[in-house]
Amino acid sequence: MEKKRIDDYEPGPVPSPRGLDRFGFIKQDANTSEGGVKTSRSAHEHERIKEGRRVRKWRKMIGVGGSDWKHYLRRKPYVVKRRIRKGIPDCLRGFVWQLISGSRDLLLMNPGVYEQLVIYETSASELDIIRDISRTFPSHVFFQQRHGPGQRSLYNVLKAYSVFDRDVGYVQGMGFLAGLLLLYMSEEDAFWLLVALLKGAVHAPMEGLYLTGLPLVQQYLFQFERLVRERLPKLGEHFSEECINPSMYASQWFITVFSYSFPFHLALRIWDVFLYEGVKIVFKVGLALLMYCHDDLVKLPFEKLIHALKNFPEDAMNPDTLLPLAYSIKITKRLEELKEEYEKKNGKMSRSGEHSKKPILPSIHSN
Amino acid sequence: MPSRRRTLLKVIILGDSGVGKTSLMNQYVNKKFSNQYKATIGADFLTKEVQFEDRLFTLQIWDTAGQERFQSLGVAFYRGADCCVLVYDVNSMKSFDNLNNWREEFLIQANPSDPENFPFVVIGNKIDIDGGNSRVVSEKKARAWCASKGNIPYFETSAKEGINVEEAFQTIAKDALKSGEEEELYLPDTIDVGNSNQPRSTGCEC
Repeated sequence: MEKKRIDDYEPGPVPSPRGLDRFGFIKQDANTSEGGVKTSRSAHEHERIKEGRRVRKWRKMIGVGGSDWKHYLRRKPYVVKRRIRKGIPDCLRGFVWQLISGSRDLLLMNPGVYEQLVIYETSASELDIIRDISRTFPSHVFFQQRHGPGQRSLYNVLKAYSVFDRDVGYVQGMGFLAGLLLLYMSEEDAFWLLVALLKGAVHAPMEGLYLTGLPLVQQYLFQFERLVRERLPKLGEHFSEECINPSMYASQWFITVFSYSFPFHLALRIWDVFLYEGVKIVFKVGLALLMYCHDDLVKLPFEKLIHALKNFPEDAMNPDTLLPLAYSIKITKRLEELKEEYEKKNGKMSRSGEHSKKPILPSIHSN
Repeated sequence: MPSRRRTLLKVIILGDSGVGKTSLMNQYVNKKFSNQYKATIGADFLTKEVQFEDRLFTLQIWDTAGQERFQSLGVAFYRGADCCVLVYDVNSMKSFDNLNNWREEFLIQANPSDPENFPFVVIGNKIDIDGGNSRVVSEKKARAWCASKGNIPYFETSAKEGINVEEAFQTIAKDALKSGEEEELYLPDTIDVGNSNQPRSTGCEC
């Protein structure tokens, strides 16, 4: 009986020792419940059964080792989208992320490359990476131990990437991407997912977030500011009166895709959608947060406003209310127009923000 | 908002990544040190009320990301600063050598009306490490550099132990206040808000 239960239902993260939350972060406040949601025993049981059902559906959709995934995706893309928006079951998350980001294919096409990068190449960024290792998810048990397995993996992935793409090298913020991935997959898998994102395996490449001048950050901030003014005119006006611009609060949303300072259970849900639908979700979540807190924000003066924009209340960050609000915001067409407007003003970016079809492995050296 | 303009002092902290900018700010404002700060991405800020001669001021302290590539995001924060704090790590020669770049970058980006007399304060941080045995930048060398740049006030601190942090920030606040008031002398009583040449603004440059 006990065995059957384990087979049918894999809860993902192991039940954690006291003092850690279910994702392995050290609890700041012992009274804060996991994921910020208090649940009664029966509600918890109900959740557990529901989760079990979802896992079975997902397993069927993926097939053994991902064998049915592409077929399913072709036949029922909307079912996939809907299920992803509800959240990928935690025990399958790492694997599904690799499927939807296209990193699985990169890994299979490039055997041995990661090892080569880690072992034989040297990077100009090694010291910069080391300096930040203990400053990446410092409150997570996996990354806490000095020179422990977590810190070593993080170092290897970042170093490998800095060699793989010497134009980008290492930029602060990438560590949070890599760190989040490493909690769900092996080093090599995490590396290829980073490659898939920055080089644009499925969506537009993200490397412009990290290249000199941070061109894509600048573009996103321009687009976001305009969207705020158009969709939330009262708040937009209040921002300009108080001299608030999005570089003061939103640059880390884009640079780390909400992994820097948002509650982890929310960050994961955003990442589920981000990997499948692309960067649009970052704009939508950003707008949804502002919408949700709109009536408070419009009353605040500069200092309190900046503080509020970096410390959203717990209820605003509940994925089950925030994400549906985010999904309801339609911005695809407008984002495209604003991008064109930005390019007209600033010159087209030569290499980022564009979905280039050039090969993904330009910089591997054969030495 | 004339009263606000007079009571808000804006300070920006610059320096290489990992020299302790976030720690200094938090030690000063919250009297706390943590080993668990994340690397700063973009910028962060804290405020503190300070009192001078019966007047209350709000010190608005901007903490920035130290990696060079983030400088392109810095412009919005540099403008309108009343004092710029340059931080290096006394155990890292490179972080000291870079002070010059940070100073010049700031003057270019912030474009203060009187760059010769713009108040900087230099802080050599992490004097606690290894009991001072791993120190590579001597106090003499640091003071000589500060003297050569128009007598910049210099402090040696440990954000971890809370040594000299309060003293450094008192000077920072005082110099920011002086710079703010001197500039007001050049300004007419009423300011045309639409005038883009306005040398300083309340919170930032719009």
